[in-house]
Amino acid sequence: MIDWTILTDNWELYLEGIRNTVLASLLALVGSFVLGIVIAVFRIAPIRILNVIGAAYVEFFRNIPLLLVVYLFFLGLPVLGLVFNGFISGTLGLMIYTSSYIAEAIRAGIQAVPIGQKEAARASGLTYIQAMRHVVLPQALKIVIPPICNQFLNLVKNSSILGVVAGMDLMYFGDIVNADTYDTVSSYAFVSLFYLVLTIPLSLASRSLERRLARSG
Amino acid sequence: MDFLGAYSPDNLKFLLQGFGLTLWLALLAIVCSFILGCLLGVLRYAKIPILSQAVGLIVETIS
Repeated sequence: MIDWTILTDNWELYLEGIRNTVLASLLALVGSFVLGIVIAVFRIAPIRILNVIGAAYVEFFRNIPLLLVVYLFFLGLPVLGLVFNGFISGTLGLMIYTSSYIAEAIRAGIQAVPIGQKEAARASGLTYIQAMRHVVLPQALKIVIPPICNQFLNLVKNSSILGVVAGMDLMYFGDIVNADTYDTVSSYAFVSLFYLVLTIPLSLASRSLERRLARSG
Repeated sequence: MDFLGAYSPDNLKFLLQGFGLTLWLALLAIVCSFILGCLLGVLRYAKIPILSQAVGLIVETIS
């Protein structure tokens, strides 16, 4: 059923795809993490207008399909004269989309720290920033890490959206191999195999990290 | 009605059809995935030798 010559004949295409998938995932991972922190700060900062901007951002990007976010960059921005190739618009879309989930995870984690912790820190004379930095954030970190790992795992799988906008990722080259060989099952079987090679180590790593955090209590 | 372009009544009706299907699909998938998820969850929790591992494999590869 699985024809291994598909792999041996096209390994260069698959390899190129894996490389671009990893690159897009890493770029989107770093970008969405930074952006997610900024948006989470917007949402919890004691400034009303920032709260509204953060909430609007999260609600908008979390509630439209990823494909539409990517289309916004791939098909929408050219209307304004900004043309990006598939790889860049796909990675940007992925980054924006994931950042809204990460912002929510971080916000939930910070708010899960009992309010008394912050109040006690403030009452003992720390400023808002100091209370956050030394009391609330260290406790929030433990709560936040499992859902963020989950989001990064989803990000790697969602990067297959680049295949739709010719982003040269693993999915895109899977489509090409399929179109070349007409062996649909084998072409995509290898694509899923390579995605598993990327995601299973991530999944195991996040689980062991969770266990370590649980032990440190 | 040509001046309406993409917003002509015909196109809007067409989009609305898709919207209806999206709603149905979502409802169907929510109900079915909940039921199937409960079943798989119980199977995995029950630690029935081969069945539990099979469910674990499905969960790990798909999710």
